[in-house]
Amino acid sequence: MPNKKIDDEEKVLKKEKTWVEKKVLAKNVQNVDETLTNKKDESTKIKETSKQNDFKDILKKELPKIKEKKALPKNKVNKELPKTKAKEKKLLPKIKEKNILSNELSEEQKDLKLLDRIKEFFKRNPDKTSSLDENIEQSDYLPEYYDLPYRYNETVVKILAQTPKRLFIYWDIADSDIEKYRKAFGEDFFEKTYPVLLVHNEELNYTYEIPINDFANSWYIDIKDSKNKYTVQLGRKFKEYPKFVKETQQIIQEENINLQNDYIEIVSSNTLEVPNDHVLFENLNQYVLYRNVKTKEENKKDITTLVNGIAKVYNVYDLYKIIYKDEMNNVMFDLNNPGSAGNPSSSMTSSRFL
Amino acid sequence: MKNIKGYVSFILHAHLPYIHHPESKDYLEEEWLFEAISECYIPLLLNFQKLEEEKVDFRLTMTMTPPLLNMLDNKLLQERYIEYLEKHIELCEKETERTTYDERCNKLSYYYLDRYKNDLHIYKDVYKCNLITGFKHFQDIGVLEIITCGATHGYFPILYVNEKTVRAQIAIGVNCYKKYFGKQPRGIWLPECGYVPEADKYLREFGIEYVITETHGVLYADPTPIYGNYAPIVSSDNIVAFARDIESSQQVWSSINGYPGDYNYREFYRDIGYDAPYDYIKPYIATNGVRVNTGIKYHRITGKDCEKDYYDVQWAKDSAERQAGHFLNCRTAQIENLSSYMHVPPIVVCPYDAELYGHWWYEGPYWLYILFKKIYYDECNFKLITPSEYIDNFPNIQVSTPCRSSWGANGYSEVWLNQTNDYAHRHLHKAGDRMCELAWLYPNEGDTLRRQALNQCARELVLAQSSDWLFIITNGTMVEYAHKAIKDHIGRFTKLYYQIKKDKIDAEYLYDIAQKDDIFPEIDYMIYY
Repeated sequence: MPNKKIDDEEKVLKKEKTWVEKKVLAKNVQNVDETLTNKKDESTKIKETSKQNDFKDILKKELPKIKEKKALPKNKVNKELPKTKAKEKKLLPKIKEKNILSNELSEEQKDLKLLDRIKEFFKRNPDKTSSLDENIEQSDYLPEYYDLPYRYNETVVKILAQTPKRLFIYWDIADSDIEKYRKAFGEDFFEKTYPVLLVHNEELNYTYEIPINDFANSWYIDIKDSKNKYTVQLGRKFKEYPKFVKETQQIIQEENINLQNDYIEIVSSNTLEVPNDHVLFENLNQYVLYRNVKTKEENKKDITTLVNGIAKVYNVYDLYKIIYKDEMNNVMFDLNNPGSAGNPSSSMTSSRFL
Repeated sequence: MKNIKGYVSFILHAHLPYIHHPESKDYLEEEWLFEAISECYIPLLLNFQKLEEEKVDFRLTMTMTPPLLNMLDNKLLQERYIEYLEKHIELCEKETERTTYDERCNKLSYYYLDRYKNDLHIYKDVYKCNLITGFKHFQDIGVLEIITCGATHGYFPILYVNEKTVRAQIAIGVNCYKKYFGKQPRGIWLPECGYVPEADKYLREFGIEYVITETHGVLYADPTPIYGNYAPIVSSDNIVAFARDIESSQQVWSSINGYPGDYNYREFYRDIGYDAPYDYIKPYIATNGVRVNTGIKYHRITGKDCEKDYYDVQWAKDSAERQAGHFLNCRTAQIENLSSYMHVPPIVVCPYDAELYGHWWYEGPYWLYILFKKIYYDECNFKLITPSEYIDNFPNIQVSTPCRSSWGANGYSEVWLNQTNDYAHRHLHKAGDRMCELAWLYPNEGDTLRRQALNQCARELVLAQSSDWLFIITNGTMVEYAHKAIKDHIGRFTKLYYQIKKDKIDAEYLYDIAQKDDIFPEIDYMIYY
């Protein structure tokens, strides 16, 4: 019992000590912060202030005529009317003139007449909660509308990896290049050829062709080998084997057109290494390389010395079967795809707000 | 004296996309921030505070992404959050009168009234509308490690077609962190845990030491990690990778039998925004009259396909305490097993979206509080640790290149690259190339207006690159907003791009969009040079 009492007291003292140390740490951080702040010289302070604070203020200085834009707080309205009155003044003489000359009013004049009628209505009905002068909500910000361009008129092909076994490819051919090919091969060039994608695996050194069509500007393709580097060429193939006259061959040379028999290379893509999709049991050797991340020193350790309780480790798979034994019992777990097993963050049951 | 055989590292990823609309008060999406503050960030701070007052030593790692930091620091959004709270208090006061028909329900209405009043007091009076300082305090006393993220959560496995755009995401993220926390971040949460080896050199350039990956980010590394995901690995560029643990993730996150599904917990889908009479609730839902969640919910899960009973705060706390004990026992058994084979102490990495704790799982912050207390006081063979501490204590790490991966559904890029959103990538790539072109054409620009235009281009580009828009489109939630966000940011970028190149910058237009997209006031377009 006395020993337990001493142990308990010791625990309390240790806890107190830990938190006293933390308070000292926080104080030190505060002191360092203050020292750093005091040490900054004026020029640095001014530079930082002008950088951070309001690049909007800097812009405003460039724009003396820009009026102050205020954000609309919730549930409040902007009490200023648009420049109707000023407009009204300018237009009034014209309106009168117009009325004398014709019974037809312009759109603008109709709006002004409507405005007058509405104002009149609220003057006669002051009990109505909405008043034209008070209820017009008008943002000071510019209205905007954007649409994405259909194309950028450039010759390009890019590849992205959707999964270890599926690529996404997008492409385009610039108008200038379209003209170039038509000039070389005739106006019907795009009718007598068809578009293809040549998929090349750099590691295993094989290439295959995927015919596409001229209605598409992107494509998904399945590939055989994960964790390899791929490039893709966008090209065109002649439907019938071509024979070229001398003038055409001259243009081909001048325009640097890459023609190989019946195939023309239009453009090549970026080189992309697709992700790996399995445990690389075969890649772990007898010796495992370690690095001290502080000193950068490296050393190799025999794999048999790294694992306790197993006499001989022939391969890491045996070890994984032990350390993942609970997961192996879970039908959702697949050592070949553990990533999909436990994280619904990006699924329909996402834990995110979005 | 505990016999420590291993470690557990909790990592909470707090992120929201940058939603800022001074031009209109009608954007529902703005409420994501307000809900997160009320349901997640303030409860986390309060629970950390309790742990500090009770002198419970704990360790937690937390990402606070640059868009979130910028929004928490934004004066307009701070004002709008206070208005949000005041409106909720008004609604709660009405609820205390409306719910007198049932004693249990009425008691809950007072509970919510107290809660929102307390939120207002904590936010305005205690933290002076600056929650960032609240989290910084816990970092300063050594219990919380805050890490950074890409500038706007741009997804690296797609953006790295132009590596400079990835470099810029990292640079802006690190600079933003330094601005708010006054020091170098040691770790980074790669957006969506999207790892590509090509980013490592830029991470190292900006002083980052470690990243967090999905399980197979380490499990499928080359060569195979000897200890699976229970020890970190280090790449050739000296970036250490910690990978998510499967078992602890499923216990918390599984929609089938995860902790948040306990029958005593609050039912998310019974909100008075949908349950209350329409005319009564109309002033408190969307301005266009669409019913939305208010955060005031009176029911508990109760069971599957049954009538929902009223929520009981104490019953929910009891469940949280029981589950904290379960989690502790599971980790103890797991580490006991692992440590018998490993030559280094195993580390069980538990990363989650921060918003899980409090928003989707209302009792989550309390569960964390109880769990951290139990780890400190109860018999167990592990301690909480941050990744930085693990590296400092166990710096000898197996050299291996992590696998290109993400924590999205199916583990790769399907969520951000599929037939619903693949149209966006050529535009993002083109804008990235054009930004580099501008930096090259106008290096160290001296003219103020042009320099501001170039900086604004950089802002629009990073805002367009946010992975959230693609995620939203795939998930089919606020799809129109996401489509519009991509169009607006690419549209503004492209318009400015042409104005700069033609030397016809419309100052009024520039000022207008600078007000709307005012993230990263200190951005320097030269990061694209």
